Amino acid sequence: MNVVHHAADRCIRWAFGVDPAAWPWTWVVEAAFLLLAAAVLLAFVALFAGPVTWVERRVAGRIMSRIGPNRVGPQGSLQWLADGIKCFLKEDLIPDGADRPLFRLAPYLVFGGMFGAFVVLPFGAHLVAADLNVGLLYLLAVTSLVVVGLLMAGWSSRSKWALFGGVRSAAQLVSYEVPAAFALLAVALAAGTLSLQGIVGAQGGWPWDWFVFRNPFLFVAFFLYFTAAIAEGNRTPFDLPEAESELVAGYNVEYSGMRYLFFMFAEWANLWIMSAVATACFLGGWQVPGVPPDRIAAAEGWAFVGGEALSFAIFAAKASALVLLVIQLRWTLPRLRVDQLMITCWKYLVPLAFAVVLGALVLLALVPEGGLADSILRATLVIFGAAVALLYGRRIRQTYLADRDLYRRMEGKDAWYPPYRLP
Amino acid sequence: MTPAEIHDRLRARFGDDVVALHADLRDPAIELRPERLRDACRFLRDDDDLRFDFLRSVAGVDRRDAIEVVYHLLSYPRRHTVVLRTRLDRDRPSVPSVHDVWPTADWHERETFDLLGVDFAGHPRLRRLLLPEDWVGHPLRKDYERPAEYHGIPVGRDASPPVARGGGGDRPRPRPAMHEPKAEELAGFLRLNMGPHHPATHGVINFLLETDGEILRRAVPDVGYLHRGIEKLAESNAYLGTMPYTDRVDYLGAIFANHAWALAVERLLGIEVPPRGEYCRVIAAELNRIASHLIATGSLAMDLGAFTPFIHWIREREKINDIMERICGARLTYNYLRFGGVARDIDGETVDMIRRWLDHFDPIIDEFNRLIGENEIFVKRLARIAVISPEDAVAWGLVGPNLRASGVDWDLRRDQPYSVYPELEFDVVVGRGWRGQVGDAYDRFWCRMLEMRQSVRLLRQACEKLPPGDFWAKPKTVKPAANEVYACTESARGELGVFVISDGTDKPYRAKFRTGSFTAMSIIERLSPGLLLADLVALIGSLDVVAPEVDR
Amino acid sequence: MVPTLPAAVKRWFADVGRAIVTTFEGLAVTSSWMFRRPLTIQYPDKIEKPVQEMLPASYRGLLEVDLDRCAGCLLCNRACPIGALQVKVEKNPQTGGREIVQFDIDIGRCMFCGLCSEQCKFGALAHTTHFEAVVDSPDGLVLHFARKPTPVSRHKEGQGPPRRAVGSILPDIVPPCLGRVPWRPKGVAAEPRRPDEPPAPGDVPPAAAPTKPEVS
Repeated sequence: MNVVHHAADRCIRWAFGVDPAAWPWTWVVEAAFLLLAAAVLLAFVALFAGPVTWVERRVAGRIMSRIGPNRVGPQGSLQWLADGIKCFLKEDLIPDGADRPLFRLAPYLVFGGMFGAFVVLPFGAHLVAADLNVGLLYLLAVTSLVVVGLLMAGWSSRSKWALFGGVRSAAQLVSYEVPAAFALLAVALAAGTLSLQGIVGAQGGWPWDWFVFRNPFLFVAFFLYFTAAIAEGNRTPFDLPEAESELVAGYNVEYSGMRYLFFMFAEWANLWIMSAVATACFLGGWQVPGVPPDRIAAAEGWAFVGGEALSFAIFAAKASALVLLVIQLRWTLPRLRVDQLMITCWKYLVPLAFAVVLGALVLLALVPEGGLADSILRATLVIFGAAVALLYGRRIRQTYLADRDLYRRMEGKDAWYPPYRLP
Repeated sequence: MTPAEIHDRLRARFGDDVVALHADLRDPAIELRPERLRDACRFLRDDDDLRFDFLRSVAGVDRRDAIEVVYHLLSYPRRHTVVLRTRLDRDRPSVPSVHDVWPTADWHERETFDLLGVDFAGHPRLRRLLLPEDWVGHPLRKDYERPAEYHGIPVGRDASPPVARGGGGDRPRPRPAMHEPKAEELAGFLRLNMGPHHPATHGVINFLLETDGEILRRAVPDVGYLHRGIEKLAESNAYLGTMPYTDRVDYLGAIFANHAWALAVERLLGIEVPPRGEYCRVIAAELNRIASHLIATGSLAMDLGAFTPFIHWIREREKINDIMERICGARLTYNYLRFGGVARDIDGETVDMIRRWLDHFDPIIDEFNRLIGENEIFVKRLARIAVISPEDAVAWGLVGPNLRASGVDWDLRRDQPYSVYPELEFDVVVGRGWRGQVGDAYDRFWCRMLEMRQSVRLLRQACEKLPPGDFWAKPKTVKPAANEVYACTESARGELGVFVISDGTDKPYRAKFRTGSFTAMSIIERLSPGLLLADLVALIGSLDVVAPEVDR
Repeated sequence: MVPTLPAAVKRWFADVGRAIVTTFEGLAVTSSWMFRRPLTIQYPDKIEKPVQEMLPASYRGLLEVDLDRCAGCLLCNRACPIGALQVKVEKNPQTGGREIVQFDIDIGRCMFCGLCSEQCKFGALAHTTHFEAVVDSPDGLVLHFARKPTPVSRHKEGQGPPRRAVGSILPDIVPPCLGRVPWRPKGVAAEPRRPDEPPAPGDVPPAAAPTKPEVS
């Protein structure tokens, strides 16, 4: 069911009292609703991209044993607003000799490429702007627009350092689409459809119903997609195009003010896209554990709204967890050199992707869904996943304890600073 | 071999071209005729008993009636040193270049040409190093007069900025010419400027890069942006007054420069340091070594993209800063050493603080290694990058961890001991190709990590053995008789040497600082062809180059 | 040297395995730091006591001289390597005694090396724990300690009245800027101005009492 279409129909019936199928002006109202949906998505992107910078800076701060922004607004939560306003007010510089039309166009292409992907993301049980039946294909295609934009930015800046960044990023983005596409292909095979809502629908709420635990090859496919998506998003360890310590912002080094904001906007929005797609395809999307999707569809009135809200909350929680993981990876790993980047893609990820697709295909064919073998496979993988998570927690605790008592002894009662306090 | 024996050997070979042996100096010098200098140097390097494979420093001295060039040599295999001198005509000083004997002479001779105007015949590209290409005059000459202005900017102690005086700011600035493609670019190569403002060059350093896409063809360092004329300043300050300036020769390793200066003047004066003073010096020095290596390894990680380890190390450095603040009152420019000891005592509470911090710091190194030191991406970025063979390292004058990582087992604290290092136990860390090849960037990084552990060991011993007593045997006056001495310490970046010429007054006649980063910088041009741009960043970081040491 | 297929495959898996394990370890380390307290001292407002009181007494902060104890030996003037100290001692024709007519410290030039205060046997010149001295013009960086000619102290080393508390003289000398209220050492109130003394640049009008720094 297409939410936008449905809402437009109901609005026409309620406001004009005519049958939408027969009325000649239906398309006007539908267009208005489409624009409204786009505005809602834009608002969501903006409200995500801004605060996530705050989250990133606070998380980065805590990792580095410092605080992060905490002055603008309560706990610094309006820092992003202050930065945004500052960027608005900056002088609009275009380098002397730069290719002006391309320079101006590049940020919009990058942003358009990112934003176009939001259309198919399944936010909730029926919360999707357009449930295309070629959803995955559309996703991969529209995010390729970003490559054109980045190349344009690097080239038109008329700066050699920007050129480096632009060319590097073009090579990187084009290469890493291959393993990403293959990993998603494995998912499409498992679900039997390219539509993202269909993929989510083919999974369930409980962890053992998720695709990531369906069979070992899909398990590997999740990490494969995740790595490739991080590379697509120009995040460390793949952030060569904007390697701060070498190129100081790479392809967008000559941009300032609002145009720069567009690039940053697109980068943070991409964080959400990569996590949302990974959630939808591998982690069961918005599926609520214990509540089959038909119950939500059949509910009326406030129960329906509640069901949708719950599914959105589950989806947002899973995607946010992945976003946090991406943020933490940025502050943990160094970056790969450009040839190592290419080697990782073509010599490691692509063969792995082939193996994953073939293996997933074979297992999907051999192991019927719902049978004993299927259950054993899923159970094993869930237990394995849980064991890894427990091991991770144990390792964190060990690291924490290894120094705690020594640190306390050092700070102790003879501390040479008075005890510091969190704000 | 003693200087007298070396002199005899040279005389046997070169006869009257060996003019004299100045045996009365603290470091006896052999004077040669300039024309035979290169041959004599080649003989010194190749003769089996002499084997002088390391040219420590080339110092030009303006003796008012002549210009002298002083060469300090060291032999790693035979462990002896010698000092060579030549006297040159003051109006047209010229001496053959020895860059084909020791490649490290390339930069040393450029600097001597820059600051004193000595022409080195046969040098491949003799041009200014520290000062701009169009500077007029040679500053270290005794009759040097500072120009009143440089391109419209007033120069001098009392010069206020042009804006305040209304000068310079009104003058129309020349507009840059529109970019015309040069011939090289039409040939497909890119010419880039990396710096002087750049996050990855450690300090204000410029690199002129010529690249074929991502692959470098050449990277030429362009230094001198941080040149403050410390050697010239030393000539107009009393000996003790130069001590704070030595802090700034390498602000990340201030104690080492202090120590080298103190050693030199103490040898000139012939005074001893009481044991407690020596131990205080060692404690300060090892703390400084750890602090410097923290920056070196942390900023290497930061240059490769990992910001967190750098901040973690800055946090550890804060504790060291606190300790040094208690000891000497400052967090970076310590000015702690004096002639005959140290300025202030290290009391028991501070020793206790150091002990407790060491208990915390040792395991934190493991945590750092888990985070980044053993990280696969980090290892892949550094292993087998910019391998420097031991012969190259010695020939190009690398010192310190850079030299040891290439496999040369030499540490001044053990091999030319000073202070109380002979009483303390520590291992010298030599590169072993831990993750790649001996002498690659990872070895240089790992050497520093292991050296930090050795410094922790030294600190524990020093804290335990700190003897009671006086910490400063203050000399009555600091007016050494006319003499010359070279003193060096093992700084975090290698051999930090000071060559001082005293003339009986309370100010030195000439002070020359020989630093590890200077020679480390000079090898970059040689190693750069074939590297990727990202590798250049890794190379600079692994060599631990700091701009103040390069430019002084 | 091309490796054999089994060796290449083995190395491939070893590379992937190492990458996964070291990433895992790195993530564990950074996660563990999220549970530890940050080390930030949020100067100047969210701290318990002023930083000047946290610093050790041996800290080489801004210089300060108690002219009542200065013997006019000029050792500090000679010791300064950079000429930040300008001390002028002249003979007063009327009284016949020596007077300090100028004691200027240029904190824009001072490198806080401590060589001058080391020379002072009478404890007059000392480093304080002050480090805040915002002024609004470069000329304000020169601190004039001798506002009027002061006779040199005749006391021998270690004798005579005790020096004023270290850090208590400087707040009156540094010119005010931005309405800043300077820190004074604990237990030392601003000395009431003697009637014949010219006004000090750092004088706070009596109506505005110094406020304690905010604690969070």
